Amino acid sequence: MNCRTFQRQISSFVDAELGPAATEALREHLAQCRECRSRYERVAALDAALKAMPTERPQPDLAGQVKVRIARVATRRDEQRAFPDWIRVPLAAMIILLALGLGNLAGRSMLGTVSAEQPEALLEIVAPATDYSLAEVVMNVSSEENGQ
Amino acid sequence: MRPWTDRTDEELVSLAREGSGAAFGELVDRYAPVVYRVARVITGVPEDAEEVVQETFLRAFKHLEQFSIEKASFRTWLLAIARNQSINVFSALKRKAARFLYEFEAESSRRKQPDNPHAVDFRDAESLLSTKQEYARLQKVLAELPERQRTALILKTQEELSYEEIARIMNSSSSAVESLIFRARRRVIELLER
Repeated sequence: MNCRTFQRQISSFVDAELGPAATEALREHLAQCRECRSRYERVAALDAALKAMPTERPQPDLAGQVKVRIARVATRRDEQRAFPDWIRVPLAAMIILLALGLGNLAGRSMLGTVSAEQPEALLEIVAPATDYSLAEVVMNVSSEENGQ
Repeated sequence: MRPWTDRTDEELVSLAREGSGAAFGELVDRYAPVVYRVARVITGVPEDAEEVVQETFLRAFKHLEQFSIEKASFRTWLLAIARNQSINVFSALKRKAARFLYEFEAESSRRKQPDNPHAVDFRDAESLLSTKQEYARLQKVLAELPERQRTALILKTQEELSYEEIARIMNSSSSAVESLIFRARRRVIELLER
């Protein structure tokens, strides 16, 4: 092996990632080769500097902030689990349809009450306490207005 | 009940999957600093690194079912998410920074002109550098490395991960990681000795 190959192995050697046989061969070479030894020393010095380099710390409450966001997501997820989409969507649709149906039914019954066949029924319902039907009341009001 | 701090990552993941917020909280306490350091190295901006930490844990929490101990340790899995998040932020930042750095460099070279009375002889000044400044210089040199080289080197030297773990985080192979770290070291030494 030549110096170029050994110098390439220095990086893995410093990282303790070189196999035993290659490590032994490199050690023997470093003992004899000044240039490769100098290379090794520079790589080792850089490694030491990188390990000792002060690392920036996050703001103290960062983990706390993360936990708050996670808790919010968890709550939302629990709610969704209790009422998953496959229940919520059809349920909402059913409620809407039911409301429409009831509205329609109510409308139809009102329409039935005021339909042309039985106008007296509504008129009797509107003014049950008097002996006048709604038509008569309306007519009276109209004639009074006309009189005035 | 055993304290959370005594439990392994795998135990905590298992409890978190069953709905324990406290178990996941312990994982956040355990790994927020390392996720921050990795994100900081890639993005270069403290505020962005903090955002990456938040997004990383949110993703991990939402996709906890996808974690498999057979494939990687929790730390490796988490750091892979952190790296991807950081790269997304970094790509956007890089575009913004490119213009700023170009202008900064142009201004810097104008100041170094001999006819500029404020010009500084950097070789003389170097001897006065304190250790703190040396680290700042080292950080500046690291920032000049391509992202993959920088991340691999930092994960090895500062986080002491194996080539195999780094390969998993970077979605690469051990031999590619070995090569990245070798080239990163060679480049850093070249830049420092320049």
